[in-house]
Amino acid sequence: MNDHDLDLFEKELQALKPSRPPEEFAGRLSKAIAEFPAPDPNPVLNHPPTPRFAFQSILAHLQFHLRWLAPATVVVLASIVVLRSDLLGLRHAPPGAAAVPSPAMKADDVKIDSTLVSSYDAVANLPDGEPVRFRCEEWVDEVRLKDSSRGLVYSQKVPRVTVVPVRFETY
Amino acid sequence: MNSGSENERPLSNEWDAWLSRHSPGMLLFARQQARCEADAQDLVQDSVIESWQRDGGDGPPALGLVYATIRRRAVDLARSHDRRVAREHKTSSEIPACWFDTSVEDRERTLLIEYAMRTLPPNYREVLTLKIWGGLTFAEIAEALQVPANTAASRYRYGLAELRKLTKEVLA
Repeated sequence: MNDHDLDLFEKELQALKPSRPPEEFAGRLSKAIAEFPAPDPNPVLNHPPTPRFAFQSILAHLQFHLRWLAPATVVVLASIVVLRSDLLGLRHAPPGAAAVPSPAMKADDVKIDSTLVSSYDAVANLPDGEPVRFRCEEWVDEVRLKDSSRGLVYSQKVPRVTVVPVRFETY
Repeated sequence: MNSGSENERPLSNEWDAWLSRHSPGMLLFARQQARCEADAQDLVQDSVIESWQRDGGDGPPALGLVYATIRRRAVDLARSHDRRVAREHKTSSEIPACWFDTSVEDRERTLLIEYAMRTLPPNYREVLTLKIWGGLTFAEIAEALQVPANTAASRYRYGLAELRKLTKEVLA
């Protein structure tokens, strides 16, 4: 099967027409639209209030590019705490006490997990009236440190919100 | 849904033309997602209204948004349907309506393609439907299905080839 064959088949499919909706349904749909109140051109969003567009755009941009920051920060801080505790433990340990296990946690397994809690779209209008849709997603980033030798598990959850403006573009 | 309201107003020509042009494609997509004709019609109606309200404009909503809403509502409907069926211990035996206009001259070929479409994997079928009969771009399909545009494009090519393979023996 070559590309030409597929192109012909594609044209054949394009010639097929979806069956017309039943008259009763078409009438019901038109009636429903006619009965429904027209949307407010400057809608008050049901979602949490959003800041002004310019600020929002910058915020969304930063959130998108720095989305790894929260979990990475937790991992770095946890590592610093673990290393510092180790160093302090060794520095203050009496001679001959090196074999005594340090009280600090030694993570031998680190997992970073992101869970999508909710996702919704919000619509706003630019000053020139052009509608812009925002894809809002609420995430929870979880960092889990595990010390298998002592059976310790340390877990921290950090909420995160991403707001990305979405437009329909031509491909 | 509202019914019988004194607020009813005549639809604009823009709406009439939009519904006339796109409702067959939307209903086709909804029929593929729903388990019965009544559900498919409700999906289209509710999705058009919801998208229109969310778009916030006077005229019809963006087509990609309507298809995305149909798909999301269909998933929700399927979940609630599964729960209901499990409760009532019965299976759905609805006979779906014809997907394509069979009044055209080659009725057998149309029915064959429809049969092949029904047996196609859903992820191929929905991309083919949105592209060919929904008239969406790959970017809009990607938006509606929540997949990358490249994935939408490759699913389209694979789906086309698969559908061709399914129908080749008879159509050749």
